[in-house]
Amino acid sequence: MQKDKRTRGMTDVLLILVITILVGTILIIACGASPIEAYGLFFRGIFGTPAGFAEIFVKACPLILTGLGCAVAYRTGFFNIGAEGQFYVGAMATTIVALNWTAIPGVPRILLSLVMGFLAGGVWALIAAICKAKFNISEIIVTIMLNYIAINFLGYAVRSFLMDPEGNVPQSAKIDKSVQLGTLIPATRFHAGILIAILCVLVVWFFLEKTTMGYELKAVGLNKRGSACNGISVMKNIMLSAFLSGGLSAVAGGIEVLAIQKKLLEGISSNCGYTAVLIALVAFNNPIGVFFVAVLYAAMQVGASSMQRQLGVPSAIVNILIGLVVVLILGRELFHFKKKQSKGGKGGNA
Amino acid sequence: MLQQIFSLSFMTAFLAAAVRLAVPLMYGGIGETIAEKSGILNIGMEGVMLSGAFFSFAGAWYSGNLFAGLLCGMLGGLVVSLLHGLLSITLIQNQSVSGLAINMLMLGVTSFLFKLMSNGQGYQQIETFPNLAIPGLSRIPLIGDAFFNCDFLTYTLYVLLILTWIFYKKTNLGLSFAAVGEHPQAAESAGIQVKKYRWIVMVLNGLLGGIGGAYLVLVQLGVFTENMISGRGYIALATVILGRYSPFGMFGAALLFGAANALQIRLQTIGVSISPFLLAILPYALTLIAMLGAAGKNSEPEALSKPYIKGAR
Amino acid sequence: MSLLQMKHICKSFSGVYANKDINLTVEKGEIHALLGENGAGKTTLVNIIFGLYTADSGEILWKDKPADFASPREAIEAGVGMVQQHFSLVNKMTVLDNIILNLKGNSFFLDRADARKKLTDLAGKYGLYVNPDAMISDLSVGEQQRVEILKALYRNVELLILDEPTGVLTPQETTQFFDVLRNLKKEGYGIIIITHRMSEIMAISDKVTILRDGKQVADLVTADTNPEELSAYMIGRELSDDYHIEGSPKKEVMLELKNVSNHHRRHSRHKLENISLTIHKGEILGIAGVEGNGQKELAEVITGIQKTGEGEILLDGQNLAGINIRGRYEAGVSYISEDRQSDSLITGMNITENLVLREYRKLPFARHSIVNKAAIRKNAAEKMEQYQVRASGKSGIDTPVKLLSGGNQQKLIIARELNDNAKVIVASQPTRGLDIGATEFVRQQLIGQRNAGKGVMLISADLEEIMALSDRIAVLFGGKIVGVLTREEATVQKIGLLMGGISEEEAR
Repeated sequence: MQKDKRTRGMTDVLLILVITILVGTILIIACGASPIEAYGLFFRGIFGTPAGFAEIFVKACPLILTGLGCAVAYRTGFFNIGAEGQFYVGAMATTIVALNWTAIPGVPRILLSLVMGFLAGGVWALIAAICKAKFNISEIIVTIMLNYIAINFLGYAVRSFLMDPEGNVPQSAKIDKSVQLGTLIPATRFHAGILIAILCVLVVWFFLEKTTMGYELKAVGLNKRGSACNGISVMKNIMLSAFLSGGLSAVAGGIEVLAIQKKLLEGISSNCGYTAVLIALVAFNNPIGVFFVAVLYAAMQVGASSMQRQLGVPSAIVNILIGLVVVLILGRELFHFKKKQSKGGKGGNA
Repeated sequence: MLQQIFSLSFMTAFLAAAVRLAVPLMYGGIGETIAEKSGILNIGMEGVMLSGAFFSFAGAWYSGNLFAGLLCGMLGGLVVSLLHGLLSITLIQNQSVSGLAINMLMLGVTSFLFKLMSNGQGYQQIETFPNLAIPGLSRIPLIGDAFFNCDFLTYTLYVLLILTWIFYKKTNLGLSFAAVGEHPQAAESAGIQVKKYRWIVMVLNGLLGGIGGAYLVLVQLGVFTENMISGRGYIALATVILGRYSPFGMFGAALLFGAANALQIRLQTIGVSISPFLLAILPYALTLIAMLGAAGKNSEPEALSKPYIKGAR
Repeated sequence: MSLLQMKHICKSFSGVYANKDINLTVEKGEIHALLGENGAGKTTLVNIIFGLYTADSGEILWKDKPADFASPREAIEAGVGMVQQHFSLVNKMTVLDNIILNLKGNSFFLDRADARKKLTDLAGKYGLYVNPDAMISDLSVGEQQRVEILKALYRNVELLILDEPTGVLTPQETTQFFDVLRNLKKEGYGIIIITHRMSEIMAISDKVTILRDGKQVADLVTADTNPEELSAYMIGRELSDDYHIEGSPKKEVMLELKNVSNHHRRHSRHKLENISLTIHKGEILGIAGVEGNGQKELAEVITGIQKTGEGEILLDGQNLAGINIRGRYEAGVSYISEDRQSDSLITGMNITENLVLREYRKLPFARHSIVNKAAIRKNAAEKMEQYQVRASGKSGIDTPVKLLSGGNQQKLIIARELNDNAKVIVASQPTRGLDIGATEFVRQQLIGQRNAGKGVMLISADLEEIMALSDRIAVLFGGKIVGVLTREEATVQKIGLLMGGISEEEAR
């Protein structure tokens, strides 16, 4: 029976892959483009130039971090949809430190600004965790509300206390060169923040898989009652996972400021906080999985934008496909529906 | 400055703007209220509204008829809600995950189709539904212009709100639909077919959410732009909670969001220095406070977003 | 004309008989009691009447006409109402709305004024007083039960089935409730009441049908019987003593409960009152009683899952007050829960992870918070071998626990909980649902613990098990200890009476 399940899982993955590629191809044809040419451009966009290839990681970096954040939260069943807001809170905190704490020199200030971002994002997520653990309020709506509060607060900040005194555009002053996260490979945008993201993948993986805290998070996520009966504090673990989750998303915001924008402004998340939810789900909340799914997603984005530039195939295809993948994962039981019936309703309890 | 704010003309214009901005939220909110009262949480309301907006535009553009556009928008919303119904009612999947995936999917689908349709060029505006002033009522100072000099969709909404309220308060069916969201097992044992009722609310959820999206296109803007719902679907979810799952509560909550939004626009035009962004935070913060205040004596339907399997306790 | 006749009813679930050849007749104006131990088939039988199950064979006559209700709705329309143990009431609706929910005769617009009048009349007639406009969530359990009965009466039922109706009531409420039943009887209603309380059967019923292991063992007229006879029929067998319990317990006390009550909230159904118990070193103390009389609460108060309200608990002289679950485990309180899948295991985790659920923080399993997978795996391999845990499939120790059979899951829990450090083992329904081999294994393990000088609290609804294994037997009834018997004193009859709420003195 167990083997049965495994082969079933494999066929599911295969089917989802085939359907996704098929849909992608149909969409390309619908645009009046030749799929061969389109896929050619797609891969040339990805592998054609070092800059293009590096761009994958530039795009993946915030997705990896926010995706990790979501994965950590989902371990305990804390359905954090607030990565978007936590991203911005982190971006703001990082900017404040990076701009103002000028007494501290370059690299230490970079690290400190990211740490402060982490803490701010963590505390931001804790609000929702406390609402859930103490008052049993659904974290879903709370984190969505917190997103809008953070986004609007950012709008206020870049027009007031964080506004560049030299200009009159809603953005912060430029971050000093010494506290920017520089590019590591010339002629690309591959920056040091990407290494931080990869480091975070490893640390989170280690934390979840190799430490007693990770063990507790997993236990709480799988069975709250059972965990409590065996002396594991459910509340503490939900709060911990929320804090880490918010912190990781916040670091994504900080890196985006220090490495890409070099200043704080609105809209810099490009909605990665919402994409992250799906990335974590597709990766089954596994940190290493998050890394690969995020990179794959970013690669699709890079490839698709090359298709868009040259063939006019809308890059929105990427959004369609990731949405579709999650819908198919949820709906995968439909694949087995017919089989089940032809076998005379067997295996109903699987 | 204060004089300026409290002048009649300012307040009149402000209220009118608040109502206009609130109507799409109210359509989404009423659709969501109906769904949640029967136990289905549709976080995909954003996607439903986006689909409604796009298909209403496409329908109106190709047919040249606004009503045909409206119908297309409603059907566009319906399809999305039915997908959510399939995943959450039939396949008993996590409703939040399903809703989020649907939002992403619809963002892609509508952007893609719009690009195909426009072929990269901008579209001209289509004409919009005209305002129909109700004689007499629209002359009432302050509120007349806001509430009684509107398009027919706004008037339809008033009727819908009253009907919904009567439905849940006074009718046999309304009681049954509420029971499905509170205690599906009890409902089932009273002979109510829970799944069938939940499918019905998903149909309404889609049609109404679709109108909410279509309203932006067919009444307010006359064009479709990518991701034009930009969070209104999520705000619609908040209005349901802030309104404590009652149609008129939702109406008030949506007005609050509309007002905050209108105020920020109005204040900007007269150059007041209160940050509009801080004002915009207000309704979200109020929603949070309302949720905290309601903790314990929850007005949320007890079976909300819990999967229902027939026969299981 | 009889109201209900059931002839030769059989029902089995996956090959096991729940009801075998049952005959039952209920007349108008008759209160008919169904008596039996847990799992005797009482609830199955009434569920067949109510259309929740379909009988495999046999015939049901409703007012002399063949009837086979496909759903509760059909049963209600024909005139059969049932009040289940778990109420089907919508908390956030008023009493009135719950009663008129989806009624067949409702018009599109509800006529609440008319319904309220009808309800008030009905309530007045039978003494079922409850405010029609109160929210269900504001009512006590007793009031909620009245609503359930009113709901049935409002639908013009003629036969009312009540599944353990008094389990949730206070003595005063029970008295009132019986007055209601007598009123209903006078009006010609037929009533089937499921209960395990002998005193109630004697007080209220006209006839008694006793089920045991799915079979009908007696049909008695209440006036012609007595509690002893009922108890003998219910339990039926003289129990054999197959287990070799050697020597007697030591003098030293291992666990002592002094006047313990649990910390209970309003509306909570089960409470412990003033429990005083001792378990000596090398002793198995059996806790007998019908389920739902406070067993789970007792176990959880000792293990620290529920808060103690009053009184104190001493483990080997150490006061456990203020010590949390983990601390108590480390002090020596081990727990085998009756809800093994929800309380004792994390079924989504694998065998290795579940085996360290109590001690994952400690050496050798972790050092400075870093998990030592090798040690955890070694531990799992050893324990699986030692306790003969079998995992089907190739995954071995990496098998998720949800894929194990019930017996193997229970062995895992035992392997984890019965360690050298344990002083007291609280074992709740430890053999429920297990096959013969696993049952034997579990019992031998518990005896082994006793013989090793530990204290064992064996909570079981299986009287045979209790009598075979225990040095002393305490009987729990309505959250109180109603009697403690030594192994020598204990007879099935005495325990049966105590379980039915009749004290030894009363029985004499």
